[in-house]
Amino acid sequence: MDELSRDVLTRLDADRDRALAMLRAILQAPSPNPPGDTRAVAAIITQALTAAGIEAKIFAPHPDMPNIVARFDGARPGRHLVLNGHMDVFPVARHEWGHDPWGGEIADGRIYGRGACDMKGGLASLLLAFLHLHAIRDRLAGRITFTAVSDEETFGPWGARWMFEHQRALMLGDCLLSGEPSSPQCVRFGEKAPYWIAITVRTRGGHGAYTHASASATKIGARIAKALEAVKDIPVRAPDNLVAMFRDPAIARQIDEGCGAGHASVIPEVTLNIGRITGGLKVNVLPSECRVEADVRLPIGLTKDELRPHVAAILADFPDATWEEISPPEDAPSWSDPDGEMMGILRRTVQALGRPAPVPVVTLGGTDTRLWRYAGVPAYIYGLSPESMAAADENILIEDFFHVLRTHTLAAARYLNGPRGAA
Amino acid sequence: MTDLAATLLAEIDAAREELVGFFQEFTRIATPNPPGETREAAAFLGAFLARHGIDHQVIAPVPEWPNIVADRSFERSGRHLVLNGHIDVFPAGDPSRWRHGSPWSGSIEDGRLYGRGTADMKCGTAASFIAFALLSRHANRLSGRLTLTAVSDEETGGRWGTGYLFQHHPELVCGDCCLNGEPSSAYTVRYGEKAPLWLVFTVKARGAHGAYVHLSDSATKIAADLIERLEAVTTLKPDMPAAVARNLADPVVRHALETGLGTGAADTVAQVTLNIGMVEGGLKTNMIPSECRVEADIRLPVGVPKARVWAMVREILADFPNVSVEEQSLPEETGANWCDPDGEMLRIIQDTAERIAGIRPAPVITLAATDARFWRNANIPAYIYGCAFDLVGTYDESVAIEEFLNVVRVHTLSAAAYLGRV
Repeated sequence: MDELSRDVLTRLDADRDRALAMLRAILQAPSPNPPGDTRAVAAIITQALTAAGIEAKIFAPHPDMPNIVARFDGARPGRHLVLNGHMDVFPVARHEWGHDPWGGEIADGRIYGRGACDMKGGLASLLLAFLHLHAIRDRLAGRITFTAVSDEETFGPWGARWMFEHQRALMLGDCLLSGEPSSPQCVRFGEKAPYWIAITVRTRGGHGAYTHASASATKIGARIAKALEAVKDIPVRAPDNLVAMFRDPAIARQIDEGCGAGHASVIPEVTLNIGRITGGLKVNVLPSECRVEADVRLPIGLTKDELRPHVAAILADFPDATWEEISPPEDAPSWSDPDGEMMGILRRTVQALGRPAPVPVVTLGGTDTRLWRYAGVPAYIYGLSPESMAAADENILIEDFFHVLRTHTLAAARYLNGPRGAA
Repeated sequence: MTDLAATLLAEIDAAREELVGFFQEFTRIATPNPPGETREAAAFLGAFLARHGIDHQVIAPVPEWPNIVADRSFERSGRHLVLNGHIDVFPAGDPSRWRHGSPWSGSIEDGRLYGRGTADMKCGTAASFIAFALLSRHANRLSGRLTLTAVSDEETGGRWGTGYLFQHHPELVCGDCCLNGEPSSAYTVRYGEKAPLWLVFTVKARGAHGAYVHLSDSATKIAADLIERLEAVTTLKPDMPAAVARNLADPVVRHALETGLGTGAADTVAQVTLNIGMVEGGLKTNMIPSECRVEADIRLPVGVPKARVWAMVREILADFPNVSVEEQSLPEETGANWCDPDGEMLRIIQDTAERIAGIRPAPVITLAATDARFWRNANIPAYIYGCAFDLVGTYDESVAIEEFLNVVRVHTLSAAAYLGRV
């Protein structure tokens, strides 16, 4: 390990108490979305940046949902690394929790709270990494930007999307590192895309006993739900290197260990969720309307334009049905080079820290990292275990948090100092 | 035509304005169910009987839902005929969509009387009251016993109406025959009805994020499979009594059903049908649903007892461990109800209707449920003859005045014939 890395690790070791206190403070600031008010979290971050003498630019197109951007330059020119995290978290069903969701309680080596894994743990880690790197900026090249955004959980318009539309130059760099949950065993380099459609079946309807008088909207709805299963058989043309990777049993095993059993097998698949079926008014009325909402996920290697004719062909068999796309039109599967430089840095860094090298994995859901990939910026996610994501008693291992913090700080330093630093 | 029949027809003609006025005023008293409040209408009907010198009793296990009963034994012994109708009607919907500004206008336009419940079934109930009053005047020419029952709580199942009378006053309702004026159209007389079996299925699953399809079963997909599998109940073949099978195969009957209930109805009457009345599953597009509710409305023809359908449903559910089911219909009803399609009262109604209206009504089994089932389930023949039903429940619900008077004539003369022939 190089000297800079060793110095960084020494700094981080000496600073453990402050790091844990920062994580707890962020967990204790409620920011459930909906409603998405992140001001309490933003205040903690802003204060920490200001205390370090770093200017925090605030953009709040929605007054309750601020976005923060801070940056500094190293001692010499170089590349530009962007760090990104979000401040909002999933809502809480309080009665399901054994721990206070906003308590930051510590027990058995774990810290509990809504957002611990998604993604206040990762956010605190990126912030602390940014502050440590700022302290040693005279030994770094290039530029580093820290971004903390709102309105991610609902893919709302006031967070990273707004920033890309209105402050694009501030968001872009040469590479993005995100602290979303990935599991310490995996690096996420891409994500599937949602393709949501709403189908409405309309028939004449009538009395429930007069089944000869009208087609049934609910029965057609049920048949459509089943017919849509055919989307899973649509051929996907993923790049050869990805196909080989997904087929590697060793990689699949590690992905399933980190992300949950079955995760690896779903990555290359077109999946179908029937999120809603609603139809009919009363048991004895023959329904005249039924709505089916289908949630298709596109793997890498299948575009919406390729999928759409298949969906249209399936639904053409149902003349009583009309349909529309309800997912954001710009969404598409996104991925960065699974052999890219940052991937290599993250793998070697984790290995140097005494853990197995993380394997590349694709996110099944969606994150803000897609916005950087759409803009041509390679984007990678390294963060905590997603095991308790969105569940009651969300928690992380405190040692995992310190591990992620070490990884973020070292990987960022190595990236900024270029191939020399990564060597 | 007998002297009595001619006399009764003459009396109906002479009282035409009073009779139409009675129907009209009855229509103007709102009795939508829910909520089913019928006290004002019951008082109005009681006053009609009192005006004609007829005693009645009010049986009201629920004060807001009174039932009216008048009972008259004639000097000569004979058979016991029960007239039955209901006072409550369907809900009225949006008042502004009624052409006369109100569902309770009772307005007469182009020879039709408009209002919610005119067809279902204030026309028929009014006819029962009029028949009872007219026959009471000629008690010396009749034998046996005549009972008039007008109930509330029909539209919501009958527990506090006819069902209550059968349970607590069987001596009033358990006669030899029942005549009911529910809508049937002049083309049919109804001797049976299919039985509803309403089942509510609940599918449960773990649920998960919509992209993580490997983590959970989907309650909606299971429901879609279940709906497809349930279709199998429609393949159950009925094992019908010969008289009913003959009736359902009769081309005249088939034609009447197809004309009255729409193309395909003649087959529907003899089949198990499945309607999926409601499906409700999932909260959001991007979540794997943890729950889905399916409401199935199965209708059983004569010859397929409920137990057979239940057996098949249970067999299907063996493949669906995450699905539970409960019955929403009345468990004590075990299947379709019917009486003799060649019965004496049926012939009387056919003969009378043919003479009055010029159409010989075909005996049919119907698809919807009425209170006549209580009699048939007690092995008492019960027949339905009334006005057209195609406007029931619509914003144009109405009955032609001449049609109403024909229903009055057919009921009065049929009752007289049934009680006069001893």
